[in-house]
Amino acid sequence: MPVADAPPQQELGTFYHTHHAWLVSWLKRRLGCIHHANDLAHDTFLKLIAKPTTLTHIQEPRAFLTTMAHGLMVDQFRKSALEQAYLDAIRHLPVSLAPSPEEHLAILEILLQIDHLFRGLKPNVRNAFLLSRLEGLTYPEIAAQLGVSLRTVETYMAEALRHILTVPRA
Amino acid sequence: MSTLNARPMTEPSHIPPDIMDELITWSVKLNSGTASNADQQRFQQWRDIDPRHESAWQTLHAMEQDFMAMPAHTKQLVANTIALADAQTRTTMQRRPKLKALAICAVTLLGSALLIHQVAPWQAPVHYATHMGQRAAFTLADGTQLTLNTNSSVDVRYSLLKREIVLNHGEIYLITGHDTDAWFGRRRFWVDTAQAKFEAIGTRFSVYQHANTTQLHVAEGIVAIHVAQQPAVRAYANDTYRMQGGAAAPLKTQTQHADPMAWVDGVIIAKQMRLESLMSELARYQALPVSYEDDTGDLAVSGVFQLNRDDPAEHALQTLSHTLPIRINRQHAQLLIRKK
Repeated sequence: MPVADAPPQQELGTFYHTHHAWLVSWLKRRLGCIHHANDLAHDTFLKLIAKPTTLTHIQEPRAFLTTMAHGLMVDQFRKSALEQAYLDAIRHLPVSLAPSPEEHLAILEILLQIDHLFRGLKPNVRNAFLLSRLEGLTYPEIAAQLGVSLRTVETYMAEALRHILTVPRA
Repeated sequence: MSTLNARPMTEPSHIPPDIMDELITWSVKLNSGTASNADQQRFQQWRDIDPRHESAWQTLHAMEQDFMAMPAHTKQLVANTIALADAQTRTTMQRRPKLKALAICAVTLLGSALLIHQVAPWQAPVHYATHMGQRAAFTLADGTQLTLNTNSSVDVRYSLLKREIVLNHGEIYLITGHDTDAWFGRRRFWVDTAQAKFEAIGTRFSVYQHANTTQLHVAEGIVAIHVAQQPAVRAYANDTYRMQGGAAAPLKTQTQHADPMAWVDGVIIAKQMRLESLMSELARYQALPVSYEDDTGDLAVSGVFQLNRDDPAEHALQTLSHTLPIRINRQHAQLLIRKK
């Protein structure tokens, strides 16, 4: 059980002053962009504030921060990749099928949820599941598309379902 | 997230492992697309035999429903987008790490904040083109007004830090926009041709690229002309410059047009222009082979000539035949101009 000498707010303040500038410059070296480094450091500290664990639990503050920042960066990059892919995907749609502005945001939200839900799974596992649920393909059809055996598709599906049922919700 | 039923559900983590195994096996079987009626019946029996089975099934079902709660056409779009994103991620991973870091900076900043239904600066170049006799006007994302003259082609490449218009061939007229929505302050504005690069500073100007020559005319403001190996030359209002390419310096010239940008308003205004030059000019709008005898090509012409018609060249010639000492003969699909 951690013993705090100072009230939590002061603890966070000290932590911030000690490590924020360092984190920004660490990120800038890796990202090559000061704006991005500032944004990401900001987001990292926000996430830290939201976490229930107190700061005194952290043994290696800088390693902890960089790991958290890296996770956020992967999230951002993935989000941006999805948004860009989405723009590409709708570019060629006929006007009658193009989503409305409200639908854009809803669809992006779905994309992020799906992406988050299946993170950690082998791409083909996720793909098999999406082919089944989103495109309504039969397993023989999925097997043909992915270039694997029927048995493998069944294994993929089982793995995807198990993942959905057991992965902790963020 | 869940909007569904009040049926008994188990928190996923509370489903006993053996029941979960069975549930998964059933679900895999029933979604294969090859399940039989007998399979369905046996599954229903499995559900009925134990309330924990039913509860586990409801849990899985509810999660899948949430996940799939979208119209059919959206499902395909989502599937396609995810496939595209994967392909993109694979491509990006292959690039050199240093370059990738810079690319992430620009792309991710935009990705997190830009509203999707605006024109995204990272989009591929936008192509505009007109055919012979056609003129077209467009307003670009930053407020710039771009007008294309006959038989012209451009690619508009707006990026995070600069605005660039590549003039492939033909003639364009530009009123540069103020770019008030730019992320990092007003972006520099460039027009590229094969012979020169022009930087515009809050201006109105036209650029004409044809054969191996580029011509610039400035109506308002300043345009800096950059030609390889030459110091930049500033062009001011009412200046006309010609660039021949190579290392030749931009050449300030006079024009025989009273207003070189009158085409924007649908006319050509000639000021003591050689007849042959005028007809050459009009041939850009209407293919009309003309040959000259008796030095008729040298006759000086002044006047206003309409472009807003199917036959601007022929019409001009007919009009001129009333005021110039010329005779027009048709000969083998060509017009022959002779002295009267």
